[in-house]
Amino acid sequence: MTNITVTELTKELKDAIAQLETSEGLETVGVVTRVGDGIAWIHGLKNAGYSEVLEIKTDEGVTEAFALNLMEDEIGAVLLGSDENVRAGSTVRLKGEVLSVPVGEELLGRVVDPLGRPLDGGPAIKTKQTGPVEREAIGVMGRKSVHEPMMTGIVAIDAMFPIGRGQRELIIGDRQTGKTAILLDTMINQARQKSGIINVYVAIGQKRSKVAQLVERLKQEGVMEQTIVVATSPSDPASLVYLAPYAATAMGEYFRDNSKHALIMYDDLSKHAVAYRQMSLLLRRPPGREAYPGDVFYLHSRLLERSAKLSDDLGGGSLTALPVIETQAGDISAYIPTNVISITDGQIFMETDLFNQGIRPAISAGLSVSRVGGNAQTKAVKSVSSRLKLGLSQFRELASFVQFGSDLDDATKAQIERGQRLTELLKQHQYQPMGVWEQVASIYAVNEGAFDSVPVAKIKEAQSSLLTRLWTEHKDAMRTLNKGAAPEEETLNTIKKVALEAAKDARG
Amino acid sequence: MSGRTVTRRRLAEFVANELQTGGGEEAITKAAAYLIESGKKRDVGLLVRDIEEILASKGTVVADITSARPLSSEDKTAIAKLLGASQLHARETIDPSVLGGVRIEMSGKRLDATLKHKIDLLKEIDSRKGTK
Repeated sequence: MTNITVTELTKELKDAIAQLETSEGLETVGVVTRVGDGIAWIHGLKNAGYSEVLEIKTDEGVTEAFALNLMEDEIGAVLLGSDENVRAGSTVRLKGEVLSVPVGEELLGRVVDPLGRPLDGGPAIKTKQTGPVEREAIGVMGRKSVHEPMMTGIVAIDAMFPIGRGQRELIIGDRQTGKTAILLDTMINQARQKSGIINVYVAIGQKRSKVAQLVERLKQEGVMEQTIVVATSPSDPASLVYLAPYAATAMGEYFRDNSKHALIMYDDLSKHAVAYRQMSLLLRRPPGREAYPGDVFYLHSRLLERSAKLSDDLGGGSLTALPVIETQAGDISAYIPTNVISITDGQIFMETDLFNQGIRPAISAGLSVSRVGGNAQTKAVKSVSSRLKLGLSQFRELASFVQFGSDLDDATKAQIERGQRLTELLKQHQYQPMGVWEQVASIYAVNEGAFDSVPVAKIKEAQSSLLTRLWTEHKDAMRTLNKGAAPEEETLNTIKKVALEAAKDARG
Repeated sequence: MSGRTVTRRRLAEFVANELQTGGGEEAITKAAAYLIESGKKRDVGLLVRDIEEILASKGTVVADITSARPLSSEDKTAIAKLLGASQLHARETIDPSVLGGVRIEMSGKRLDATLKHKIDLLKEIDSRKGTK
């Protein structure tokens, strides 16, 4: 001890010693008995709580884990980092808190992992607040029915399956059918329409290259400033993939609870269920249907229940959820798809056949539905779109008869002709979400038969001409229409008149 | 005990009770037989920890004590008082590298009051400041 001489204690050293003095006492510890596949089994720590954070001391520092299996003899904990340095015999302490992540405006414009650590090469994120990853959803009296629109900018959705703030609308479909494209356009639309809605995009086990592309596009479109991207890749531990949607929801809840509006997109919950299945099987929980554990329904229901429209007493904020589910060969009756369909307030079903026919976004009019969005639809769009879904569904039923065109009665022929034009009209290029006035003018023109004389192939040309003319010649009326109120008779007459002129031009 | 599954905790409670009432040796033989029969030989270390934990809750503490120099009887009395033990079975280790103070490890509990630990913590606090 003689060689330890502490002659010049600086103030910092004194502070450090003061910190040490507070950590005296007999502490409760456990010991790792087995470790592997990202799971550590721990003996001791009888007073550990569910989802409580544990600190495992290793040669390289401390590795965190959270307790998921609390059993009579041992604890099954999922490691939040690599299991490389954790050994049998390592000492484990309780951190004394459930898992929390940084929340707040400081996260806007950043790409982070589920623990709030930056992935974009930027500086460490210091927020004033943290939010618990697992949190009980708002109660009945704290909610209000969905009544404000959350425009996606995609005509087919805003006109036929409107989404309201606080709603949970599932985007479901096979791989490569444009599910992420819908999310991306919706995020872009929030910036273009200056809706003030904060985007939280959660990449669950998505390829890093895909996330990088998405972030790049968001930056190009100027959307990143109002967006948080929470990313996990297939190479991340299952624990991080499992945590990603909960952590991102905590980040979204911050805005909801501060009287703001946020939109959270889970891309996708199929991979989330797979990550949870992996963890559950490794934790030796009994497998059920498709080897998923018994609580896989609760896994998603407790997550999506946190998206809500708050009552005025709680500030009136909202968290809208757009979960994504990837189906196999269009099978929406599989286990996870049926679960999430029953939890959400509707679904947008993407069809591979439509996508391959060039109908993009490939939204199925027959299988898609929005259960609560009707009350939230913008009045302007509602006033012109009431017959749209029915007309389109009937057309898709009749579409197979198109090839026998000459044998059909006049009414059916007219329905097919109108349907073909509607289908063309609802085609929309990616990254080009439409404003309210553009949607109203386009739908009204077709519904009123102004484009009936235009060949189907030239409908998009006629639509483009209509929108350009309206914006250059009737800018004020269109600005008024864009505010969302039901259009006046005069505005509708103007649209019809200009549409007929645009149709004439398109015919050549 | 054969014929049905007994949890490790139940087994530990049985042995701990027997140890306190004097039937320790027989209980240990039975527990060992059960572990062999049920193919749980690997659990023996954990069973011992469980037994120690139960005994500690009843005042009989088994602890590993590490210090830089041999402990005096006054030191041991003080430690027993600190641990709330009516009976202390100490497995003592002399390790000069801890520099000073004492480290007590018992099943499920730990107290590191060694000088080395405090210096390590100081280094940790310092390095954390450096990364900020």
